[in-house]
Order: sequence, then C-alpha cells, then structure tokens
Amino acid sequence: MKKAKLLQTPSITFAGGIARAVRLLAMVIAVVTLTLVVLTPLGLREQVSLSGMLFLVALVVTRSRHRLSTLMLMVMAITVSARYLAWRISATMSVESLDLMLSAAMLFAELYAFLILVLGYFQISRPIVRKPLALPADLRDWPAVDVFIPTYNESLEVVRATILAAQTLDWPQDKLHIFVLDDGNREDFQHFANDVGVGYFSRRDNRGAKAGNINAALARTNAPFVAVFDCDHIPTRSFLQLTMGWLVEDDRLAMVQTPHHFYSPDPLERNLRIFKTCPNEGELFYGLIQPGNDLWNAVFFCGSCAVIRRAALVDVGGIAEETVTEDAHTALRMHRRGWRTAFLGVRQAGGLATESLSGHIRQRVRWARGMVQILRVDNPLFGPGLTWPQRLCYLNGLLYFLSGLPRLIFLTAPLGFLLLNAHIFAAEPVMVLAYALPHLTFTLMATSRIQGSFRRSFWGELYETVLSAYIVLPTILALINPRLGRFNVTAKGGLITTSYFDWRIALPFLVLFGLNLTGIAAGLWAASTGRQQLDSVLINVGWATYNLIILSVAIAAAFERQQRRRHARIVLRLPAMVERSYGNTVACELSDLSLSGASLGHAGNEIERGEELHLTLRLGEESLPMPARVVSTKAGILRLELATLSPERERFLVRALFCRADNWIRWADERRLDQPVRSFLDISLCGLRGLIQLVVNSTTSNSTISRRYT
Amino acid sequence: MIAEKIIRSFIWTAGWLVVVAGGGLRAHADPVARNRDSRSALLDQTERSVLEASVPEPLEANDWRTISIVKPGKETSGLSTSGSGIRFFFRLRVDRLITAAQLRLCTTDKKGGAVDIEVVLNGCTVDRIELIAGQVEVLALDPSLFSDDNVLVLRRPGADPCEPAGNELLLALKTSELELQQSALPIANDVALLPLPFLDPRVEEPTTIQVVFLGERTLEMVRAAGLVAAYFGLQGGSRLRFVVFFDELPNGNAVVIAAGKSELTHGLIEGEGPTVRLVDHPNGADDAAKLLVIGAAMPGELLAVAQRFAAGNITRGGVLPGNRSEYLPYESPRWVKNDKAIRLSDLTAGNDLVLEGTGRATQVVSFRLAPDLFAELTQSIPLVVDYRVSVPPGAPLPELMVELNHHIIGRLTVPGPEQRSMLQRARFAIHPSQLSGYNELCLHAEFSPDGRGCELLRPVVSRVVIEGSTVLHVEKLHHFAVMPDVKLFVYDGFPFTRFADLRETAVLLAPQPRPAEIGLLLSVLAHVSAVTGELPKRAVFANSSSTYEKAGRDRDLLVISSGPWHPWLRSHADELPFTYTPGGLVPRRPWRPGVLLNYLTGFAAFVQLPQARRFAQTVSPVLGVAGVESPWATDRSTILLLATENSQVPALVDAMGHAEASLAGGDLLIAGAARRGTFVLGPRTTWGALPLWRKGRWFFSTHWLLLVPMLVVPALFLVRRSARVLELLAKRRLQLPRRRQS
Repeated sequence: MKKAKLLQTPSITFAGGIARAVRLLAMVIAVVTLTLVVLTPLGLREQVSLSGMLFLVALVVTRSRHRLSTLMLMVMAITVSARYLAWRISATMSVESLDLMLSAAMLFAELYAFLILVLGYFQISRPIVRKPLALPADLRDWPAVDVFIPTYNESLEVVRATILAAQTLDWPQDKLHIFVLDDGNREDFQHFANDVGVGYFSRRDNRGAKAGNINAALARTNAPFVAVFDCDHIPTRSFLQLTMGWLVEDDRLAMVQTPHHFYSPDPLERNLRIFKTCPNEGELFYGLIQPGNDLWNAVFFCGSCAVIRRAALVDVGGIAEETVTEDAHTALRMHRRGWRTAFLGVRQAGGLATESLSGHIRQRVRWARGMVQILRVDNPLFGPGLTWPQRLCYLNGLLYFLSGLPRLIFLTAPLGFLLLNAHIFAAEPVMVLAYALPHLTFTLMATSRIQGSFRRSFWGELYETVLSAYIVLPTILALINPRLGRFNVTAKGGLITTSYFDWRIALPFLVLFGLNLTGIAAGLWAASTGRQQLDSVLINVGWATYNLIILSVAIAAAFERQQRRRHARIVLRLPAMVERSYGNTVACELSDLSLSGASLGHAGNEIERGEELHLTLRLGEESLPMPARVVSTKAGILRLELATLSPERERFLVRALFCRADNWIRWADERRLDQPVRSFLDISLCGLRGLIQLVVNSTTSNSTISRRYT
Repeated sequence: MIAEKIIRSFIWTAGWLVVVAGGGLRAHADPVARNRDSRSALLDQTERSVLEASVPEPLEANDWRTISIVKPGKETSGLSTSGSGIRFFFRLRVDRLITAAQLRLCTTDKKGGAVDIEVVLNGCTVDRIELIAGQVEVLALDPSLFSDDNVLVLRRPGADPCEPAGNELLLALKTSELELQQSALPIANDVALLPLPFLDPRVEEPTTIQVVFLGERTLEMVRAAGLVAAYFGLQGGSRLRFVVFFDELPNGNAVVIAAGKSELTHGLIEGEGPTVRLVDHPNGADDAAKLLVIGAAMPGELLAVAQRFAAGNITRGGVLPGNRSEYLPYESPRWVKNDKAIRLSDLTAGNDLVLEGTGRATQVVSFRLAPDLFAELTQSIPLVVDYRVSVPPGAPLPELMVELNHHIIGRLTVPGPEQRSMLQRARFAIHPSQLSGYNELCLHAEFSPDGRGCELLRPVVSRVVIEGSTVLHVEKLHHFAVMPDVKLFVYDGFPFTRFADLRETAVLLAPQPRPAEIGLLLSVLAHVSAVTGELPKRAVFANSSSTYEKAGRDRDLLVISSGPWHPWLRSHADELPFTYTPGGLVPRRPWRPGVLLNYLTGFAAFVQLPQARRFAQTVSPVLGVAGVESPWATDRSTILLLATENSQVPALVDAMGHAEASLAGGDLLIAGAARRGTFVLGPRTTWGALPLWRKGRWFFSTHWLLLVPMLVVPALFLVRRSARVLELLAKRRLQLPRRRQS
C-alpha cells in the first residue's frame, strides 16, 4: 500500500503541476486577450456598437447580487476605461503648444483617476466581515489594558463623557487602567481625573503632538495592550470584549481598529440636510475600504477607537512622530515589521463630527499633508517588509489625498475650449463621446454597485471638490518638503449659534462656479455665431454644467446652519419613568436623549412646561432618577432639560446614552441603496437649493454674513 | 489542347473576317457646323501653334456645355468668395471657340426681395441684373470676352469692398451656371501638337477618345492600343473614356490602330514602314476631325511602333513617361516614396511656397503616395510646417490655414513682431483617413481677415513663405491593405500600379474581345498610366483559357468581360460575388470559408447581400467592378471589370478617379448611370506585411465583434479564478490562530 502511494505521489504532483501550469497559462492568455481588447482601436460606429453590446452584458450582470457579478463589473469597468485611456493617449493628444499643455494636464488627471480606480478595486475586491472573537473563559487570562484619552485644547465638557464611559468598559477593573493624556496641562482636567479615579498625565512640552503625547504615556505605563480614544470618542461598554479576542489569540496581531462613528452630523450632512439619509464621507472608509484592507493585512490605524499591542508599538519605536498622520504611519511601520492588523467593522464608539466646514476642511488638509509626508519619508512602494498588496493598499490611501489638482483640472478643463479655444481632445467630438461615455457609464455602474451602501454616486466628486482647492498647496508643499507644517487639532464640541454663509471658505467654489458659468455663456455665444462647432460646444457646455452642479452643492455646504443644542440628541427607544414632585410616576418611552436633555413620548397631558421632575432611566437592573425641568410639551412629546448631575448620575447617563453595546449598530439601517440617477437628482436639488440660498443670502443684511462660531 | 488552340484561333480569325466582310470600313457622315470667321481669325494667330488647327470631336452647333458655378450641396473647384463678391476661375480648351454664352442665375427666396448683381467677366463689366427671389435670370455674355483662362466675378454693385459680402451672396444664390456653345478650331496635321485635338491637359473634364482597330485583330494590336491609351492617360489625367470601333471610322477625332495592308488601311499606312501620323478625317464632312494613325504594314511591327510612339521615341507632343527599364515596387514616377519623410521641396522642385497679397491666397501642392500605406486608426501622421511671416507695419495679421484633402488640419499662428523674422514651426497630426493615394495639400492665407486691408491707402503686401523644409512623416507607415479592394483599384489602379510598368499584371481577355471590353481595358490602362506616370509596357496579356494560368501565376489578374461567356468567369463562377442573369449582374455571396470572417466585421455584414441586390435593382444598367482572390496565388487579387456594351463604358470609367465621391472599400462595386455603391460579399485577404502586434490590432479592429467574447470570456475566467483566490485569502485571514485551534 505504502509502495503504491509512493509510486502515485510523483504522478499526482506532476498532474497538479500540469494543472497549475495550465491555469497559469490560461490566466496569461486571458490577460493578454483583455490587453488586446484594450489596445484595439475602433472607428466611431464600431466603438458605439461594441459599447452598446457591453452595456447590455453589464445590465445582465448587474441583475445578480452575487460577489462574482461585482467582480465582473469591476473587470468590465477597468477594461472599458483602459480602452478609453489607450485611445486617449494614442489618438487625441494635441501637438500645438497650448492644446498640448492642457491636453497633457487633462490626461494627467485622467490617469490619476484611473490609477485610483484600479487600486481602489483591488483594495476592496473582497472586504472581510470580521466577527468578534470570544475571550478566554477564565478572566485570569484576560490581559491588562491601558486606555489612553489624549487631549490638548478640547473643553472638559467634551472629554468627561469619554472618561466616564471608559470607566464603564466591561473589563476586569484591576486590569483596566484609564489615563487622561492632557497636553494642555490643565488643572480642571487633573481635578476631574482625580475625582473620578482615572490616571492623569501631562507634559512640559508638546513635542510630537498627539504622537508624542501617547509615546510619553507609553513610557509611564506597562499594560500589554493600549486602547486609544480621541477625547470625544466615547466607547461602548463592550468595546474591549469585542476587540480583545483577536489580540489575545494572535500574538502577531498588533492592532484591532474599529470604525469611527459620529453621532453628530458633520458640516456637509448638517448644511445639506442629509444627516442619516445619505452616507457621510467617512462611511466609505470604515464600511468598505478598511474591511477591504483587512483582506490584505493592510488595515490602517486611525488614531482612535483601536487597541494596540504594546510590544508592536515598542517594536516600531512608538507612535510615529515624523508626520502629522501619526496613525497611518505607525500602522505602516508595524506592517513593515511583519505585524498584522485587523478591522472589526462593529461601531463600538461614538464621536463628535467637526462642527464647521472650515474645521472639516482643516482636518482633511492635515490628513492630506500627513499622507503625502508618508509618501515622501516612508514611501510604501519602497523599503522592506511589505507585501505587494500592502504596498498597493497604502499607495491608494496616500495617493487619494493628491486628488486636489486632478479635481481642479476636471473642474476647469472645459474652460480650455470654451474660453481659450484650446482643444484638449484632438479628435472628433462624437469620437470623444463614443469613447468617454462608456468609460464613465461603466465606472459609474461598477462603483455604484460596489459602494452603494456606503456612498451615493456623484457624492465622491462633491467631497473631492470641497477639498480640492484647499489641499492642492499643502500636498504640493509636503511633496517638496515633508518637514513643513505642524499638527493642528481638530476643533470639537463647538456650537454654531447663528446661521451664516462662510464666504471665505466658499470663495474658491464661487470663483470656479463663475468661471464655468462664463465658459458656458461664451461657448453658447460662439456656437450661435458660428465661431465654434456646435457639437464641440455642446459637449463642453454639458461638462461645465455638471461642474456647476457639483460646485453649487459645495457652495450650499458653506451655509453653516445654526446648532440649537449644545449636545447632540441621540435617538433612543428606551423605557423610562417620569417622577413628578408630588410623587406621581408616569411610565413613558424615551424618544431621544442627550447629555443635557431628553424627549419622551406617552408622558400624559397633565405635565406642564416649567415643571421640575425626575427622569428615571433603566439600564438592566439598575435605574437612577435624574432631576430635570420640562421645557416643552407639544404634540404629546415631553421635552426635558436635565439639571446639573453628580458624577455618579452623569456616569449613569453616559452609560445609558453611549455605552450600550448595541448603541450604534442599527445606525441608519433603513437607508436605501444607491441609485445613480436618483442620486444625481438629489445632488442637483442640493445644488439648486444652494444657489437659491446664495441669491437670498446675498440680498439679506450683512448681519447674517458675519461668522458666529464658538 | 493544340486542337482547342487551333479552333479558337480559327474562331477569332473568322470573327474578324465576318465583321470586316459584313461591315467594311464605314465612315459616319455627320456634318458639323463651324465658325469659319473665328477659325480664320485664329489662323492669323501664328504665334500660337496649337490654335492653327481643327476641331477634334463632332461638335453640334447647338451643343451647349454647362459649367456649374454654384450648386446646392456641391463644392465647385475654382469658386471663391472675396470681398463683396464671388470669384469663379475656369479654363477652356485652347482648341475650342466660344460661339455663344449665357449665364443662368437663380436666387433663393429665403430673405425675399431682389438682389442686385454685377457680372464681370475677365475684368469687363458685362451687365448688372436684378434677381427676384425664386426667378431664373439668363444673361447673354459676349463670346469675345472669353479666353483660355477666365475669371467670372459676381458682385454686389456699390458694396463696400471691405465688407465681406461674398459669403452672403454665395448663400443667396440658389444655382448659377455658365452655358457655353463651342465650336472646335482646326489644328495642323502635326503629331507634335498632341494630345490635341483629343484633349487639352490644362482642362479637367471628362474626355472620350475613339479608337478604331483596322486590320487583323490580335493581342499585339490590343497591347499596342493599350500603350497609346496609356500615352493619353499620361497627358490627360484620369477621366478618359475610350470607345472602340472595329473596322469602322466614327465621326470626329479617332485614334486608328492599323495593322497590315488592306483595303481598310489604304491611305492611312504609308509605305512599308511604321506609321505615326495625324491626318484629316477621310469622311470630308468634318474638316476639323483628325485621325491619329498608329500603324504598321507588317502586323508584327505594330507593337514596336506603338511602344516607340508612347515612349516618346517618335516625336510627338505631351509629357514623356518614366521610361525606366526596371522598377522596384512602389517606385512609380508619379509617386512620392515613403521610405523617408516627404519634404515640401521634394514636391515643388526645391522651391518654397509663397503666399502674398492683401486678400486671400492659396497654394496647392498635390502628390501621390502608395495607396496601400497603412496607419492604424489611432496613429497620427506628423506634418511639421516651417514658415515665415512678413507683415508690414499697419497691415492686419493674416489668418493661415493648412488643409489636406479638404480636411482642415490646423492653423498656423502668426508670431509677434519681434519673432517674425525667425523661422516658425508648427506641428500637426494628420489622421490616417485624411491621407490617400492622391493628396492635395492646401495652404490658405487670409491677409485681411477683418477687411482692414481694404482700408489701407497704399498697397501693403503681407507675405507668408512655407519653407521647403516642411515635412510629412510617412516613413514609418507600412504597406498593408485588405484585398481585393475595388476602391483601391478604381482610385489608384491598385494592386496593378504597385509596379509602375505593370510587371505583375496579367490581363485576361475573352478569346474574341468585344469593343466594349477593349474600350474598358484602354480606359483602365490610361487611368493606370495617369496614376503611375509610366506605360504599362510589362503587362502580360492572354486571351485563351489555356494560357490564363501561365500568364496569371504570380501576377494580379485583370479580367475584362462584357458577359458570362468569358472563360475565366465560367471556370470560377462559384468564387465570384455576382452572377450573370439575363437581366444583368446579380450580386451573390460566394460561400467560402473566409466569408464567415466577414460577419465579424459588424452588423452591416449581415445585410450586405440584400443591400447589394436592392442597389442593383435600382440602378440600370448594372455594371460592376469585382475583386476576388487570385486562384493561382493566395496574396494576389483578381479585378473583374464587367460591362455589356460600349455605351456602358463611360459609367464604369466614371467610377474611377479621386474626383468622384468617396467610396468605401469592398469587393464589389455596382455602378449604374448615376449611382455607385461598394459592397463586401466574398472572402478577403491581406496584402503586405505588418508587425505581428499591429496586425493583431488591425485584425481585431476590423473584426470587432470578436471583442465582445474576447472581453467577456477572459473576464469571466479571471473573475472566477480571482474570486476563488480571494475566498481562500479571506478564509485564511479569518482563521483562528494555531494556538486557539489546538
């Protein structure tokens, strides 16, 4: 028998080798064939017919929700886009100086977009849905964890909920060490830390900014794991239980990152009134890109809501201080050293979004600058330790922030023809349509299919447009000299007391809007007088009109809306009780809750405005009454303002509000999937509203223009 | 075999005898009215020898020739707008006398109202007329105002010369025609005056030349006629039609190919030696009509005489052929070689092109390239223009435009004053479809784009010099074409013209070729010579099925037939994209394996046959040019010219030449009285060589339906493989660490 096996083994191995070779050969042939498809030039009629047939194939493919059909759409989109680019390079480059310059600029932007598209498809080709791993049954096997809450200039009001929530983490108390890392060196923080019983570290200087702050704390602590929360990121009680399982079981796992969830609307969501109805900018990253990175062991550290193995941090010399995006840089270093990282896509912390568009842009500019710094000082394409997939994932993450210049090129490209009479495409206008429209259509179809749950079609262009004018210079400067610039802290917990239009931040959008509008007028005039070919004009006018739509939404985003509440209300459906001063108790249901107020339904009609009462919340077996005052009783909804609470009550409120394990899991579950046409209509309506607001705002008094931000 | 040859020769000879005996030499008497006063007047002009002679063709006194000036939807050569008017340049034959002329004008009724127009012919104001919208006005013109080169100006009287009203006027004119009544002027009986009276090389117009075969008709006689036809082709461009008569003299001018001494040739062949002479037409009714006699008393000498005549060894008028003993492929005297970049100085005998003036100026450079130069759809052909601009102070900046084959290539920028003395360079990318076998590069200058030039008190002449160093980069193009292609044949005589002397051409005639067939052959040979600039002296002729293969092996075949009786057609009927029926030619699809590839070229391939049949039903009579692969060589073509009678020859000949509307490539051209269409019905092959990668791209771009499965199938395969690998990777990523598993 053994002999027979021995005899069989080589033949089986040989057969396996043959099969592998055949598969490899087939793949090579497939790639060569697709390359042929890409590089085969066609005339107008043939190109239109081919695109039509492929479109029909794509329609059939999209009917299936299978993962294979998603991959098929990706391959088709890449092939059709590559066909467009091959044609673009080989047949449309102008040779005259101005045309050539503009044509080359446009080509650069297109190549950039294609590279990002391909890298993006690679990155998210198979997102990992990682589930929490159970911890050892014996609590003695649970490791100690240091929880770091770095802060610099944020108010205690913002930070205290995070500290209190950290204390409620379900972890053996003797193994849980919470530290406030106060780089602001503030007494009230120290007093509060002492009062609630958490550690407090401060430094004489702020060297290394946030990274230096954490590194300083690392030197003074010793638990094998470190959980990091930005000071406004309030963890749920289950955070460590859900994340630590993987770290305990895998010695080479350096970090588990969870999503950054924001329970308050970011400026775009608030100003465009799309909070919860439309995915915000970050959802694509945490919903799709990080799970995609997980497949390739390339999950980035995002600076907060993550647990890191101390040994890995020590191995890479602590948190990286050379760049202003210390988080991604640290992850890169860990990957270089062979550590693994993982992403757990369960929202286990809630934070505050930036309040104003200017703050939002400032934060993104820092990210962009930091990522470009990494590109310069620690380029993932080079250097040891990374696998090729990791290099490509990092490259995509870093290159994404160079989108400013390409986006500006796209926003101004039609002006080359409409205003300067330059021909960016040295080709017949119908040919441009025949090649470009399939490229755009297939990209849209594939992207909508892949990102449908996390980003609506055309909103990506908006996010890039909003940032484009502001990140161009910092990224170019960072490319030239990566040492330039300092870490800037993102302002959180502020309040916009009066609505206003931020002219300063909207200025680039207004200028670009004006230019595109002028271009359209000039083009139509040239066509009507016969100075330009109508078809060329129509194509460029269409393009400029699309730019106008995107720019008008960017302008609309600069209308900062008044925030009525200091603390964001969170929708909660919890049983509660209202205990009136004379002892009468009313059972009711909590509609929403914040750190300073609550809304209740079914509370009865006899309660009057201004009445002092107690709101009793129930968490499992625990319940605690909180003093409150009735501020409104309209439509059967009782609105309460909570009085100043004791630390014990405040901790209880924080637990009720932020720390339940399922707090953020069902967030915006009812959102529909992306539908490109509807999305385009939505974004167009947003833009229209923005323009109407602009006109109305321009005609109102100057008092509304002044900025109100605290 | 020998018996068959003998029988065929007997039939051939008997056929000729029947024709000769039955018809004899007939002269068609048809008196022609002549303007004797004009003739006498012209005879006085002794300094212009070409005008010392007589009328070549039978011109009826009431025959009117119409020259279209403005025609809706048609571009007229020689027409331009300038300032406030329309300028129309036209030429008349030097051997013609205008006896009456009228101008027919009609305006559109778009704007309504009347339009005042002043008519100026060769600088003389003829009249001023008021055109009522929609009404036709006829204005008689004084015949004495016409000369060889003429300029007719239509302008708005009293209009500001700086006001660019020419375009407006052009738009206002619905139609405009010049109608001329001409009579032929007699010329002397001197072969040095050739190609008069048969054609005037200065004038681009369709010309019919009558050829008469006298004597025993042999292949040698056909070859001799072919050389003479080629001579005329060399002189007169492409639009020559030859009409052949056997043993009868038609009215008007004719070329007589005569062999042997007989009653037929009596008086035409002098003595025992070869004869090349221009003589008066013997019918006596038309003293302007001439006969060009190419003859030999000994039939065997006829070919030698024709060769000497066509080659210029016998003194005669007109240009000489290339006259080289050996030609390499694509080395025609009239083709520009593409083995290196083409410099403008190569095309202009070393001269620069100069444009100057205060109004509009145009310079045209025409050149021929090998018609099978291949460039991919995305490949551009660089044109680098070197130029200098000189603009005097105060003069407006000119607008300069480069045009190739009626496609605007781009504009030349006028440099700033400080750089004007320097050589300027502009680069343009020419799309391959804009280049063809025959090309016209036009350089236009508008020296007063805003009309300001008119305001200058003194003449200020701006000047643009296009330097001889201007270069067209065709050196990287390959010779490659899909064959057979009737388009390449009708435009450029390809593939026969690949060798200027037609060394690789075999002409396969029926055993007893009919006049229509020989007329077609002569028209083709004239066309081919016009393309190459050389005589078809190495072409091989065969007229029996036994010699076809020997003649046709390793050659491209030219088969001329006016019916199903041609032996070659009978033996290869299954391979042809048409079939003969009593009603004429009917397109058909020859079912051969290569045809299946046609269906990959697009949806149009599926409807080619019904389209061709519908087209054939709508045109009458149906003539054709078909192309099939040579049965004796895989990379050789057979071109079949299919007519049924002499009267159809002009329609078929009109299908040739670049002046006609653009044709698509195909293997069957169906021509009727006024319409032509090309279709792809049979299998195609390729001619020439391309690097493998390019050839692959070419194949897939022409058989593009393959691209759909080529994208979908590999994509599916890659997706399935990738999905499997990704699932494995995902599984591995989520695997519990070894410690926990244990």
